[in-house]
Amino acid sequence: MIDTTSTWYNTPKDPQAAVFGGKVPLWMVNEKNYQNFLDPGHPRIWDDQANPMDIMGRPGLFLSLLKEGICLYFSSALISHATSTHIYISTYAFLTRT
Amino acid sequence: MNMAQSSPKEYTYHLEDSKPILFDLYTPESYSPTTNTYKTLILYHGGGLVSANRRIIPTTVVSSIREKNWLVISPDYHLLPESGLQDIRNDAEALENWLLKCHEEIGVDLENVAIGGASSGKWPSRWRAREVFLFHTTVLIIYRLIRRHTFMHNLEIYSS
Repeated sequence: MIDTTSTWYNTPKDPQAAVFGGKVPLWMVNEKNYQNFLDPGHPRIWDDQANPMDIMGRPGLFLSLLKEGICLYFSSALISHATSTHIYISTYAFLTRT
Repeated sequence: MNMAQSSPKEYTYHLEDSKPILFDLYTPESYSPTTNTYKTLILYHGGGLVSANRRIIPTTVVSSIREKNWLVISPDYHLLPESGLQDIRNDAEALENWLLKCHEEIGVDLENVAIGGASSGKWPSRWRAREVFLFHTTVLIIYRLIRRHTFMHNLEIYSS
């Protein structure tokens, strides 16, 4: 498992970073808006019809991963260590801590 | 990634609580499943495993199938974090089982099925390729930065 207490993971990322062609600054992504996705019983979906520009909606969940710059690690960790969402959720909770 | 430009046909390959889980089928211009079978690419969309849907696939794929006479299947699959990774695995297996059962309906050549994914869509494709993918396969990993000629080159390798 990766050491999530390391300096790299606790260093704030580039404040100038943006997505969607520079239209959406990453600092606008507020992780607090996405905690509801983690609630038990939240509807399961497989066809996300949300507007990708709506950063307050589900795409923001993805953007919050990009914000931390570890989306690729995320996927790697899932493949290597988990067959459930447990690691995903626990890591996500760590990254989105306030 | 962009929305695909051609209009795909929708098929249901799986059900959850009586609600359909669909895939889109992109076909060549001269498509005749009753008389021909076609090489087929199963392409999983990106979105970090948490967002997007089957319509979010590279336009390069759609243009390529017209030139190469391939089918492209773009399925929906369960999204995290409400669902688990095993749900995504189950979706992939269900899709392959559907193809084994109904391949004649859409003209899939079962001897020539490739699997791949855009961005995080690589993970479902890698799982299936490394574990129990039901077909002989090549894995294509497609990222945003990939150029069209590279994608076409991969198809050429697979075709040869």
